Amino acid sequence: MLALRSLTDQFHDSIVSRAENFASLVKFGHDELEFDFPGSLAEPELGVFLRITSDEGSVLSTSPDWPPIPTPIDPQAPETAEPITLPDGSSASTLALFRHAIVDDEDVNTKPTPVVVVQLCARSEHITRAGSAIGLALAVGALVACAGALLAANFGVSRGLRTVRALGSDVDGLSPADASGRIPTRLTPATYSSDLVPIVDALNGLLDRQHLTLERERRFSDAAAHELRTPIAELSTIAQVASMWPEPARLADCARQSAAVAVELTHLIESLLALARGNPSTLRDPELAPLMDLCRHVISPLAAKAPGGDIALVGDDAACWRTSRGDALIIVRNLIQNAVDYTLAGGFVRITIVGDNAAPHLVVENGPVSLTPEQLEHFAEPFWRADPARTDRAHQGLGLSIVDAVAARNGLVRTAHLQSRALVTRIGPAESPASDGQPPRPRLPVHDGPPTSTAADL
Amino acid sequence: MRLLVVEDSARLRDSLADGLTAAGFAVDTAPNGRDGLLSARATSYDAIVLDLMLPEVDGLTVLRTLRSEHRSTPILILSANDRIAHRVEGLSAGADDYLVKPFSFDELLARLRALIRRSRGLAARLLLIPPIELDLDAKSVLIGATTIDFPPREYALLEYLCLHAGRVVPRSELEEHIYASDKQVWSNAVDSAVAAIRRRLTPHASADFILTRRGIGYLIPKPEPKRSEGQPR
Repeated sequence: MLALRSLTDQFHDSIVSRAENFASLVKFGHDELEFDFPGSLAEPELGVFLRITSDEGSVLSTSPDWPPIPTPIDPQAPETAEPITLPDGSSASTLALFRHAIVDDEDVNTKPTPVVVVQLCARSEHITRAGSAIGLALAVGALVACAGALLAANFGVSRGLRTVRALGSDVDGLSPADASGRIPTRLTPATYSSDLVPIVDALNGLLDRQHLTLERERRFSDAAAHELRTPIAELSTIAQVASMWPEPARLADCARQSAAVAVELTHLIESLLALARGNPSTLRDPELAPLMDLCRHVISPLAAKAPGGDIALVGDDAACWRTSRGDALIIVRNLIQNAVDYTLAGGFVRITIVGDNAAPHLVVENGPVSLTPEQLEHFAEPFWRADPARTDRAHQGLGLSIVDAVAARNGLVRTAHLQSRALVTRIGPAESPASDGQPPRPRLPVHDGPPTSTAADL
Repeated sequence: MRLLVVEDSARLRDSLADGLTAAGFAVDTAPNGRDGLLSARATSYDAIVLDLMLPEVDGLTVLRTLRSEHRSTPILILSANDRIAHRVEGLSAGADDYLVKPFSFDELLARLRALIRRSRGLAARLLLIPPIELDLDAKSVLIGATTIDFPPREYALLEYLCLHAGRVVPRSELEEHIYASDKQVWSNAVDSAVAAIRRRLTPHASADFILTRRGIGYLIPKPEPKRSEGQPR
C-alpha cells in the first residue's frame, strides 16, 4: 500500500509539475495571450491531454483529442489531481491551475496580466497496473512466506517432537519394575534434552510412587498368604493324620478342629473383605451416626473383659458423625476392642467424645500398653503384630487397617500417640483444628472422680 | 525314635504329635523356642521338627544355639516362610531339611525317616541284621518272606537296637528314645518289651538275637561282614 501511495503521489507531482511548465509558456504581450509551445498537443505525443483557456473561458490552446471533461471554474479550489474516467473507460487524473500569464519582456506595461487556466488530464492506468502488480507481488510473497513459515514451523515442531516421541517410546517400553519386582524402573534424564528433563523427572517421580504402591501391595499379598499358611497347614495335617489312622476318636477330633479352623479362616476372609470394601468407591450415602449410642452398643459386651471390668465413657449424646452408620460401628468396635485386648492388667480404658457435636472426635485412651514408639509407627500396617511369631490367632492384625480404610472412605482421620505408657487414639473429621503437624491432643476432661457414664450403667 | 516338635500353633502341634505318634515315633512337644531349647538340651532326640516364627526365642536362634553347643540332632525346619532366602538361611544355620507350610504329612514322615537314617549312616531304607530285615520306612520286620507284626512300641525298640547293633544300649537310653516324656514308663517296661520281641521272633531267630547285659542294657551283635569267595579268611 505504501508503494502504491508513493507511486500515486509521484504521478500527481509530475502532473502538477508539467502543468506548471505549461503555464510558464503562456505569455501576455500586446494585449494578447500566447501559448508558446512548438510541438503537437496531441495526447500521444504530449503524453497528456492539455487545454489552456482564459479566465473568461475562451480556449487558448488545446489538445485536438481533449476529452469531454468538466472545466474547473473555482480558482480557490485546491490544486490537486482528481481521478476521472475517460470516455474510453480508462482511468485518468485531471488537474487545473489558475495562473497569471507571464508578461512578455518586450511589452512592458502596467496592466495586470490575465489569468489563464491550465488544465491537464493524464492517463493513470499504469499506476493502477503497477498497484495491481505490487498487490499481486505482495500477495504472492505473503503466500510464499506463509507457506515457508508453515513448512519451517512444521519442520521445527517435528524436529522438536522427535525427542518427545523418543520419550514416549521409552515410557511405552517401561515395566513397573524389573523381573523380580523389587527394583523400580527409572528413566535416565541425561539421555534427554534439557527441555524434557522436568518431564522425565516428573515421570520418574510417578514411577517411584507406582513402585511404592506395588511394593506395598506385594507386602500385603505376601502377609496375607503367610497368614493363611498356618491354618491351612493345621487343616491339612489334621485331615491327613485322620485319614491315615482313621480311628473314631481321631475322626471326631478332626471334624471339631476343622470346624474351628474354618471359623478362623472365615474371620480372616471377612477382615480382608472389610479392608477391600474400605475403598472410597464403595462409599454409601452418609447418614447421622450417633457416637454415644454406638459406643454404648460396643462397650456393653466388652466391659466385663476390660481391665477392672469397666470402660469409662464421656460425651454428649448429640454428637454425631455424618457417615455410614455401619462404617461408624466398624470404627468404634475395632478401636474399643483393640483397647480392651491390648491393655495390660491393672490398666484402664477410657472413651471420650470431644469437640463440636456436628463434627466430633472419638478419643480412645487405654493404658498401660506394651507398645513402643517404634512399634507405633507400624501398628496400623496390615497383618502387623507386636509378636513376630504371630502366635495369637485371635487377632489377624487387620483391625486398624480396616479402621483407616473405612475412616478414609468417610472423610475421617485417625491419629495415635503414646502418653505416659497409655495409647491415645483419636479419630474424627479430616478438617481437624489441630493442623500444626503435631499429633492432636484430645481435650480430655479431668478424671479425678469416677467416670460420668460407664458400661456398667448401660 | 523320639522326636521333639517345637511349634507355637497348638492345633498344628497337637495334630503333628498325634500323627507322628501314630506313625511309631515317641513325640515331645514345646510351644515356644525357650521350652524347645530346654527340651533339646535335656533329651537326646532322634530328630527335631522346628518352627521358625516362635514366641520368646525364635527358631533360628534355637537352631544356632543347638549347633553352637555341638548338638548334631537332625533338625527339620517347618515354616510358613517360603522364600528362598529363608530356606538358605535356615539350612545355613545348621538345619538338615526345610519344609514349607502347608505340607504333606506323608512327605514330613518320609523326610524325618530319611533324616534319621542318614544320621545313623544308612542310605537305604532296608536294614539287614540276619536273620531279620527291617523296613525303616514301612516300619515292618521281615524274616525271609514272612512279615512279623510288631506293635509300634516293640518295633521302635527293636529298630533302635538294630540301628545300634554292636553296642550295648542302656535301658535308660531305650526308655528315652522309645517313650515320650509325657508317658508313664514302668520300671520293667523295657524288659517286658524285649521279652515280647523275643517271643515274636521265635522260632525264626535264636534266643540270643538280643543279648542281655545284666545291670546295663541290651545288645544285638553286629553281623559279620560277608566275605566274597576266594577271599582269604
